Amino acid sequence: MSLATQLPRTGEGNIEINQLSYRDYLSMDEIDAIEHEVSIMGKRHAAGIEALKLVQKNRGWISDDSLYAIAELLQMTVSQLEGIATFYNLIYRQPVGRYVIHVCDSISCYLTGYQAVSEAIKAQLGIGYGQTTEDGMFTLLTNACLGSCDKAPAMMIGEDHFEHLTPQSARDILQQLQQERGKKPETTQK
Amino acid sequence: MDKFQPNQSTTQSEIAKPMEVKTDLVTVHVDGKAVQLPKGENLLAAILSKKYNLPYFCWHPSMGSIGACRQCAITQFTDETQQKGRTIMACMTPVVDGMFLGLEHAPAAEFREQVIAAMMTNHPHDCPVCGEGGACHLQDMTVMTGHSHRQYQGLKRTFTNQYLGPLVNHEMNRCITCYRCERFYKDYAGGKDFSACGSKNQVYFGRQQDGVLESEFAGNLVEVCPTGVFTDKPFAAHYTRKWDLQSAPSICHGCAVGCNISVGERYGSVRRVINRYHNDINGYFICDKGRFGFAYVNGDDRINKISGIELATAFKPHEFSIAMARHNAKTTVGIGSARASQESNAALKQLVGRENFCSGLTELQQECLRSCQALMLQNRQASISDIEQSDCIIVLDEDLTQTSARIALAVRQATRNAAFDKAEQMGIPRWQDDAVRTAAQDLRSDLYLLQSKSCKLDDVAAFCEPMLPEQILELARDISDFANNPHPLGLAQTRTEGSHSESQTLLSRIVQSLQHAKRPVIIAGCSHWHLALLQAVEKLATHAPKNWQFALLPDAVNAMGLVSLMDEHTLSLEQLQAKDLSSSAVIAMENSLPAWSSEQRKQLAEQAETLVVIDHSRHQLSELADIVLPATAFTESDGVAVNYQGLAQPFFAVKPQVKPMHSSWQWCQLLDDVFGQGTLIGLQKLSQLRSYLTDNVTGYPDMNAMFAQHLLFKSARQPMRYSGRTAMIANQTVHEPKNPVDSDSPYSFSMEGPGNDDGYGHALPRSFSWAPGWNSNQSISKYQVKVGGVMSNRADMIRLVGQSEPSASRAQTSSSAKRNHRSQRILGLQLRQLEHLFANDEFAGKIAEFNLMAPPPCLLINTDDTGKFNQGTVSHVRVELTDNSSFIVQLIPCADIAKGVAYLHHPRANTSPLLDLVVSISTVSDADISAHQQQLSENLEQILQQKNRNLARLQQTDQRIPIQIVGEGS
Repeated sequence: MSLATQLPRTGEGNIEINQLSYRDYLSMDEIDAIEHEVSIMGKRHAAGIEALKLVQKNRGWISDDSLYAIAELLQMTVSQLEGIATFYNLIYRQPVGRYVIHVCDSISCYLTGYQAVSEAIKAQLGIGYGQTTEDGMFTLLTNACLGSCDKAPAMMIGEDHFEHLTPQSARDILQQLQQERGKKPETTQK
Repeated sequence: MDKFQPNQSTTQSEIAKPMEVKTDLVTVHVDGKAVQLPKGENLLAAILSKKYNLPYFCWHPSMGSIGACRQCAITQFTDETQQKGRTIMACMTPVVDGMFLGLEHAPAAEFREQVIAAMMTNHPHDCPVCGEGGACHLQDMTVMTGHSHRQYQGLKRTFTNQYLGPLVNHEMNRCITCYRCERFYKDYAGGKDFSACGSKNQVYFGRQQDGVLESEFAGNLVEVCPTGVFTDKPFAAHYTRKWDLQSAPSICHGCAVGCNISVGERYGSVRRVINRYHNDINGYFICDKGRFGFAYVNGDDRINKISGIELATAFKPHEFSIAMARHNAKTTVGIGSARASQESNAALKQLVGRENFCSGLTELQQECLRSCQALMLQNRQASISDIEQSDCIIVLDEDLTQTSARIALAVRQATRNAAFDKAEQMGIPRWQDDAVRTAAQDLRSDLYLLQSKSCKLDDVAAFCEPMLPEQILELARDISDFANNPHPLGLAQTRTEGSHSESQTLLSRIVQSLQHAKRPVIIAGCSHWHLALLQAVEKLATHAPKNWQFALLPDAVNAMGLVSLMDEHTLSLEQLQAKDLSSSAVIAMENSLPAWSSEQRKQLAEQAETLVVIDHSRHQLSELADIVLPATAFTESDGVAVNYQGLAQPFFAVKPQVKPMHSSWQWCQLLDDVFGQGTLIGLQKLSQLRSYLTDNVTGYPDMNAMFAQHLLFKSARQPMRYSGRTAMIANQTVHEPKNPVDSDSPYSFSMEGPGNDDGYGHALPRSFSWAPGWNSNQSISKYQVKVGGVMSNRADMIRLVGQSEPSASRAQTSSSAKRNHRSQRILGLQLRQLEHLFANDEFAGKIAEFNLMAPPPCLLINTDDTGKFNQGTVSHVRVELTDNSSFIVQLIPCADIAKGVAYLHHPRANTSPLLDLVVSISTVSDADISAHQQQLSENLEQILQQKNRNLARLQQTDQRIPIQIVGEGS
C-alpha cells in the first residue's frame, strides 16, 4: 500500500505501524534463505510459510516486527501473512520457551490416558496450557493429532515425538530436559 | 431546439445484457413436486428463486458459493421412489435434469438443525443487546431449522474485539465462521487490511491489529455479516430495532451514481441508511459515503426557522406572502442547484422565468456537465451492471474509489471477466467462487488507469503508472483518433514504429485491448473539471463502435437533472456576477455557491436588493442572506434525482416535515405568489406540480404514468410490528394524535398499507424489506424474479435519453470558459484538489465520523519534487491565498504521484474554489508547525466533543418518549 492511497486520518484511528525496512530487520542470511524459497515457488507470496519457519527457527517466534518484515520482503499484505501465521499451530506468534511441548488431545490419545499424562506434565512444570515456565524452558500447548494414533498417547517436544506415554514416562522426559538446563543458557528473545 | 423528448419506453431491460446467457430450464422434483429450474445454476439459488425456504449463510447472490457453512443441506434421492438418497450441499450442487430432491426429508432437516446447534455452542445469548437482533439472518435461520432447545452445556470460546474505526463495530464472539466478511472485504471489494486468522474453533476475522478499516466499502460488512459481528456504529450509538424504524425508499445523495437506499427514522431523527437492492445500479452494495453520509440531516447546522421576516409562530401561507411582499423587487433571479431535486429546480425556473434562471455553476462546470449530458442523451452511459460485464475498461483521470466509489467496485468486478471466461472453458460454473478464483490466479480483464496519482484499483490494473494530466488528455485524443480511423490497427503500428516512447507503447497496448474487447467501457469524471478531457471523450463517443460504452460521471446527485433544465438563456455564475442585481431579488436554492470565494458571495449579498436563501443547512451564504427559508433535506422531502445515466429516480420522505420547514419546491410555490407569475399557485399537491412541470418546463421528465401508478395504493412506511404508536407521546398527551397525512407520496406514516405484500403488482419501491420468516435484508430474495435478478414488481425506469441537441449556446460559452481544467501552477507544480470520499463535499465536514476519517490538511507531492521545498527538508508548508489568508499543510512525499503534480487537501476546498485562490507556497517556522499541530489536536478534540454533543442532543429529543432503548457501543 502506498502513501497516496493510505493517507493518515485526522482521527488518528490508524495506530502507527513503526514499519522498519525488512533490510534493517532481517539478517542477510535470512533474506538469502527466503529469496531461495521464493525462487523455488512460482509466486513471491507462496514462500510465506517457509519464510515464517526460517525466521522462527532463528528467533524462536514470530514477532509483529518479523511479520511486517517478511510481508514487505514477500510483497504481500500484513493481514494476509497474519492469516497464514495464525493458521498453522507450529508458527508461534507469542514468545515461547526453549522447548515447546505439544500434547496431543485428539480422540485416540484421549481414550488411552491423555488426561493423566496431561495432569502429570502440568504438575511437573507448574504451568497450564498456553503458558511458559518462568525460567523460559518450557511452553505447554495442545495439539490436534500428531498422527500417532496407533502409539497413543503422544506428545511432541521440538521436533521429537514421544509415544506410548504414561504419566511417569512424561515426567521422566521432562526431568531429563530440565537437567540440561544449566548446560545451554536460555536466550529467548522478548 | 433543445426540447426534451424523454423516452419513456426505454427501460433497462432493453439494453443488451450479453453476459446473461439464456439457460435451459429442466424439471427437478422438490419434495415430490415438479419445478422448472435453470440447468447448471446452483441448487440453492434455484430453490430460493422458487421462493422455497432453505437456510443458508455463506452463499451470497453476488459472491457465489464456497460451501463453508454446511447449512443448505438437502437430500438428493437416488430415484423417483424417494426412499434412498444422500445429503448434499445445495449451494455446491448444479441443477441437473430429473433430480429428486428432499428439502423436508428428515435426515437433511435434522442435519440443518444440528449445524445451527453447533454454531450455537459458541454464539452468545446476547440478542437483547445485539444491534442485529430483529433483523438477524442467524435468528431467522435458527427459527427456520427448528433449533429451539439448547443442548450444549459447556463454555463458549471468547475473543478480544478490535477497534475498526468510527463506522463499524466488531463483536467477534457472535461469529459463526461463514467467511462472508472476508470474501466480501478482500475478494470482492479488494480490501487489503482484513483477513481470516487462526483455525478450528478459533477462526478470527479482523485486521492484523486495531485500526480503521481502509476500504471504502467496509460498511457493507454490516449487511454482509449474517449476524452481529459487524454492526453499524453510529446507528448503534443511537439505536432502534428494525421493527421500530419508519422507513422510506430513497436515493443516495452522495454522488451522481444514484444508488438506491432505504432510510430509517425513529422519534424524529434519521437513524440509519441501508442498501436498497437495485439489479442494475447498486445491487447489494453501497459505499460508506452512502451509508454514513446522511448524518448531517440530524446535525447542529440545520436551519429550522425562517429568518429575515416577521411571522406569527404558526406558519400561514398568506401571512408569509404578505411579509414577503415587502421584499419584492423588479426582477427575481433564481440560483438552482445540482443537489436539489428536479422538482425544486424546475419550479424555481418556472418561478423566475428562463431569462433569470442561473444554474449555480461556473461556465467550466456547465461545459463539463454538458459533455456528460451529451453521452447521456445518446444513451451511451453504461450502467453499473454494464460496467461489471465489461472486458476492457479505461479510466481517464478520475479516482473512482474516492469520487463515485460504487463505480470503482463495479470496475473491480469487471476485471474478473477474463477469469469467468477461463472457468467457463474449463467447465467450472460461474458460481463456484473458490474454484473460479483458483483457476484464474492472476488472470484479469484489462483495466487501464490513466491517472496522475495511484488509487485503490491499482492492484487489479494492467496499467496504473502515474502520468501528467496533459499526457492523459493526449492519450484520450489518440484513442479518439484510433476510433475514427478506418484502419485502426495500422495507425497504432505506424505510431509505434516511428517512435518507441512509453506513451505510444501504452497507446498501442490500449488500442489492441480495445480491438479485442467485446464490451469496452471508457470512464471519466468531473472531479478535476478537466473539460478538454471530457470533450475528447465526447468526441471519441461520436465515432466509436456501437459496442463501446462510456461513463462520464458528474459530481452531484442531480447534476444531470439540472443540466437538462439549462437552455440558452440560463445564466452561469460568471454571467450572474456580471449582471446588475441592484433592483433584483436573488433566490439561492440549496446552493451555498461553493464554486465562489467568500468575497464573491459577499459581493452577491451586497449587490442584490434582497438575497433569499432556501436551504437545509447553514453556510456562509445563509448567514449573509436577508431572508432564510428552511428547506427539508432529502430525508424529509419527495423528489426526483437524475443520475449520470439519465435515470430519473424518485426518492421519498422518511418522516413528516416539521413546519416551517418546506421542500424547496414548496417554497418556490409560496414565493410564486409574490415574486413570480402566479402559475404555481394552486398546485398544492406534488402530483399537480409534477404534471404542470411536465407540460410547461422543458427538461422535466414525464413521469406522470409512473407516479399515477404509485398512487393507486398507499403503502406503509412502518413495519407491522412498529411499537409505541399510541404510547410514544403519552407523557405529553394521552390522546392518540392523528397520523400525519402524506398526500404527496404513495406511502403513509403508519403501519397500514400493503407495505410488504407482493400481490398488488404496482411498481412501488419497497420502503423496507421483510418477508415472513425473513426479518433481515436477505428477505429481498422473496421479491426478486430470481435471486440477484430484477425485482418482481420492478418499476419502469424513466430515462432522460433522446435525440435532443444540447443547448445551442454551447459553442459560445465553451469559448468563454477561461480555463479548461481546474488546477493551478505553483513552484512549477500542477496543483490539484485531492479527492477523498469522506472529505470532498460540503456536508462531509458536518459529520463527525467523516471528519475523523478525512486526512489532515496536506499537500501530496512526488518524492522527487521535495527538492522544490527548501531542499526537501521541510515537513510542512504554508499555502497563501489571494485574500491574504493562509493555512499550513503537511507535506507528504509519495512515490506514486506523477512528477510535477501536487494534490492539495484542506477543508476550505469544500466551501470555496481553493485552487483558484492559491497565490504561493512558502516555508513555515518550527514554532508555526507546533502551533499548527496544537491546532489540529484541538480540532480533533472539538470533533469528538461535537460528536458527543450531537448524540446527547438526539438522545435528549428521545427523552419526551417514555420508551428508552439502549444499543451497544457508543
